[in-house]
Amino acid sequence: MLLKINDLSGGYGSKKVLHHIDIAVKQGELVGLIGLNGAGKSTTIKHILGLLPVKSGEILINGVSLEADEQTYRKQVAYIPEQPMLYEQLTLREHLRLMAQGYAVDKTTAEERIIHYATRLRMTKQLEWFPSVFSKGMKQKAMILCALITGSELLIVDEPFVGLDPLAIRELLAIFSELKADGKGILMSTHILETAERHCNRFILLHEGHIAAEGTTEELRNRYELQQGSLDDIYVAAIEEAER
Amino acid sequence: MTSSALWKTRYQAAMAEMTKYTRYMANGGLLFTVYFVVLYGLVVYGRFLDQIDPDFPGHLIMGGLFILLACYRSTRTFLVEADQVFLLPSLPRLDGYMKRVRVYNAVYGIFRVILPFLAVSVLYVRTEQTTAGELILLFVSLGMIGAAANLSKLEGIGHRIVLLYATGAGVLVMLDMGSFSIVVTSLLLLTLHLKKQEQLPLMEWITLEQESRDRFYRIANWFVDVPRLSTTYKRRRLLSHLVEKIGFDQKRTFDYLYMKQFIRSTDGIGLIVRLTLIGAVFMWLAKDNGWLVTLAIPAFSGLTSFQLAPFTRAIDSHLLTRLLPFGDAVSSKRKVIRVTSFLQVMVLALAGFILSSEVTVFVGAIVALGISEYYARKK
Repeated sequence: MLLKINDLSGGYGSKKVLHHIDIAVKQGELVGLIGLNGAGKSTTIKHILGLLPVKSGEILINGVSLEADEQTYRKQVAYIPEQPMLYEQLTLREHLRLMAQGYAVDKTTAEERIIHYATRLRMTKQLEWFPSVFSKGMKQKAMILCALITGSELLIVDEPFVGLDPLAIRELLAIFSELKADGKGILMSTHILETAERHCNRFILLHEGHIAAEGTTEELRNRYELQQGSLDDIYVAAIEEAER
Repeated sequence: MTSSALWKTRYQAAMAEMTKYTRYMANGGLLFTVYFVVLYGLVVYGRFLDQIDPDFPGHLIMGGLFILLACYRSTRTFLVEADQVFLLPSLPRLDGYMKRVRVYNAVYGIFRVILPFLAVSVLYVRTEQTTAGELILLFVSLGMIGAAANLSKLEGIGHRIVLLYATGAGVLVMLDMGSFSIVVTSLLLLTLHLKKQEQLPLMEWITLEQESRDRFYRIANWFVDVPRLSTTYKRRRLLSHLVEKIGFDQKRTFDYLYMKQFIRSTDGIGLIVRLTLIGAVFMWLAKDNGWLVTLAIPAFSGLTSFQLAPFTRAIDSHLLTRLLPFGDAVSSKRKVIRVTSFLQVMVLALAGFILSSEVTVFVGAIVALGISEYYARKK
């Protein structure tokens, strides 16, 4: 199992947001993490990235926890945040060099990946630019490139389509498919359910810090007796059931 | 919202913030050094004036001051980013606000010329045949230049127009026709009046205010840590090219990141250059006293290391930094402080030795290196 979260409870300081959740992501799997605002999606992501301390339970990536071996753990996970956060003092190419160096990617591979992914996301012209002159979409693409350059086994993605143009969305989804085929795992938080329905292998629906439902689209349809229902319909049914 | 209410709230808020930072700056260690250097500079200037030759070309200095003061222009409009949305409905009714902003900037422009005028006028009266009336006329002309410089920026008028008129007035002073300079500066103000904006140019004025605030924060940042400073970075191609030579090795990840931060930020290389220059000027002023020159080396190097120590703070808390699996941030930070302090101490010691010929400057250099090591190790 690539990512294994066992009985995780956590949150911010004394505020408990997550209550005993279990999540698993296998190699070659794209798992959609969905839920209302404040359901605990971002908190889950922050715990996986080690940005928040775990109160109880454990998080393992390829069987390694952050506490046991921080370098091995961190090397295996890359992150695309919802809000782009770039260093104002580095050009895009310098960001990519830094990420490659910090994730112990060899120089030749790093250069190949820079050319490959920057070309696909139409960012070659922007490689020598500073982020201060980037548009919102360019910043988002830069964050995507920073994550892809690492070649990590697990990709954590938070609302990746915000600010992207249709061509970039299509290319990103194609890249996700290729990563899956290479045996990488992706955990993606999103509100764009139509796209998620077409591309995710499984879904985890969080509600008020609990897992309200999980499974493939078919499994969820069966559970909520919505044989012709879309993910949107299933989502509404799951929230209504959880609030009952 | 009415013009007067808007002006009152904005002006009071801006003044409260300026007062707060000015108070912090007054308590800062660097300001003490600046006071000291300025006071020492005044003593040296006083000695120079006592021995000045009556043939010294004071009129050229006064004329040059006209051009020099026109080169700098700074404006406050007290508008904030959110105004581009919330002030839109009131825009046609903000004439009163525009008037107050203009008056503030004109008065500030006049105040800005007072100290330079006083400094040059004491030289001018010793070297030129002049009367109190002529001096007052010169001050009024210069004040008009200061006001016009600021107002031109506010009205979106090219800087070259102010520079042209100021050069004209300055040349008249240089030709010993200083009293006529007021005619030129009055024409300048008339030109600005004819070209003034009819309606408040919201976006432009918001940008001007942001620039002005950033400039103030950058100065305040020399003395205290300013959290709201929107930092500007310069590419610095040559230095950046040198940093690219750092080995592509996971252990050197933070060497690369910190060196880029150091060479491109004002609180990195900019800080070292500023304090080294101030230190060199201080040593030049005190060159007759070997001990003062010697003490200046650890004093200025210590001040630099003290202020340099937190230069990585902004990037240490950055998301990407926190995610990096490899690299030794602490060791890289120490390396940057050690290398840069060593270079600064060498420059100061060499300058001190050339100026004073005292071997004791090298003792000062050793003490300085000890102080920088203390700050490099400090968490």
